[in-house]
Amino acid sequence: MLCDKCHKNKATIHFTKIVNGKKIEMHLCKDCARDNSNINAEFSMENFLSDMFGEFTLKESNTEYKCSNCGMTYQQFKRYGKFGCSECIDAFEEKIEPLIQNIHGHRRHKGKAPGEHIDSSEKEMTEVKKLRQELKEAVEVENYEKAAELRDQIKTLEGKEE
Amino acid sequence: MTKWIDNSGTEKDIVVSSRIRYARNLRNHKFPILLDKNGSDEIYKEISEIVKNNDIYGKNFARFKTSDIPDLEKNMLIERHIISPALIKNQDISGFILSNDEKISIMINEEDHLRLQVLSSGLNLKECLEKADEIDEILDEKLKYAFNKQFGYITACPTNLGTGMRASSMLHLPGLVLSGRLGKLLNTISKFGISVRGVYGEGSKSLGNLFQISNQTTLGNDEKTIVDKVEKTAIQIVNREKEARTYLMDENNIEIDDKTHRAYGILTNTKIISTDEAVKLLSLVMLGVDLGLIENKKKINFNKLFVEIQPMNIQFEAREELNERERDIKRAEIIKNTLKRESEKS
Repeated sequence: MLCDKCHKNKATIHFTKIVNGKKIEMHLCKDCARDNSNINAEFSMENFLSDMFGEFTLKESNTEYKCSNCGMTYQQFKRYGKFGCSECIDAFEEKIEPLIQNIHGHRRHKGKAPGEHIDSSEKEMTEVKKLRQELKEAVEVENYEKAAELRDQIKTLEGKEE
Repeated sequence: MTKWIDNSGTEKDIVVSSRIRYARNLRNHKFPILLDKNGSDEIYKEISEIVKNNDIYGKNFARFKTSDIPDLEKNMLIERHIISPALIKNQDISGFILSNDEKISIMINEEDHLRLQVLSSGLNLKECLEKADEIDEILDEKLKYAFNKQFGYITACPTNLGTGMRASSMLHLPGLVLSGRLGKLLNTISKFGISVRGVYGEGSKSLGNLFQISNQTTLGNDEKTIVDKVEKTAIQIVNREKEARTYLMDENNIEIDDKTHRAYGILTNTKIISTDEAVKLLSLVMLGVDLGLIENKKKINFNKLFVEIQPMNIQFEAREELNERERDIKRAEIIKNTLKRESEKS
């Protein structure tokens, strides 16, 4: 088999790329492969990740996502493979959720959360208790608008526990 | 010197060490990749003050800015697995806090704002986790951790999201290597979400038969489940290693006796030796000791010796910069002296 690029030398390096679900096979000779930056690039987690992002995001690249908190764009994130701040993940959520699923095989965190050792359930309970007290007071003074608001808040908090 | 390698813990013949690492970030600061000097100073101060002011831990920790540490010492700390190369790469903004016994370290502004690490010798992951949680909670009380209900602790790299936890164990597996059983075993292990890499040497090549196993992913399972899985895998590997050693003793008794004693012979007589060769031979001597073929009345801590013969540690001990040849001579001396003490006693 001759090299796909120079059509002169024997192809000794074969690789497969998947773009938009389409399989592209390439067969190159040693020299052409060396010129091909994709192969030549040193393996690093960053390169690997940004290639992964590439595969995932080729489909739609018209809208530019940007984190309003730190200013990092999705393009930059793809290059670095790292978030710029704690808000980036929300800004890019739509795009990176499939990637996260691919890396971890899951989409949802299980395990500890900040402030948990203060016993979050207890914290939420006291919150509900407080709101109930306020609700009672609101009803007493016939402030039904506020009461409705409080009732909704209690519902959300209690809903969380289910 | 190499204080954390104190030879405690279970299965310590085969499990060299255990480690838990938590990656954490703060909500109110840009992540290290975008962080400037002022921001990084604030974070360094904020985190180190919390530890300093803590009743239990305050007195037992020291804090350092990476750029203040001489290059030689920085590299030595890497060889001891206390800090990472990435911390040094970020030395304009990074720092670390280290406990006196070197078992607990907090790297600041490495890839994440915080990298909390608890090290222990032997198979000790559950205890490491407990300790890590204790420190994590002290920090959590005062800091605003970046967290999101869906993705858990927000880390700079998506590969650490969720628990932000890496649980790892370093294993010494000469039996599996010599009996040619390791490859197949590692293949199986990787299917269970555990990754394996050689500790010394590049890529898949491992010197000294030392391997590190750790959880591949961090999101979707809770901390205890992950630790449990890594620990169970380690125990499985330990059992296979023991089987392999028994097999070697039954089938190749003389060959193993010969191999380990040859290694011992070279190490007790060498005048100049490279790190690579020393690590390889030390692994064989350790195996010989474990199998009862070589006496170790003085109870030499080989795990410690592994670290002490690394290039930077040798220079650090010598208190001067040495070229490669000088280091190789010094290394031969250190090994010979350590092993000789043994033979004089017996």
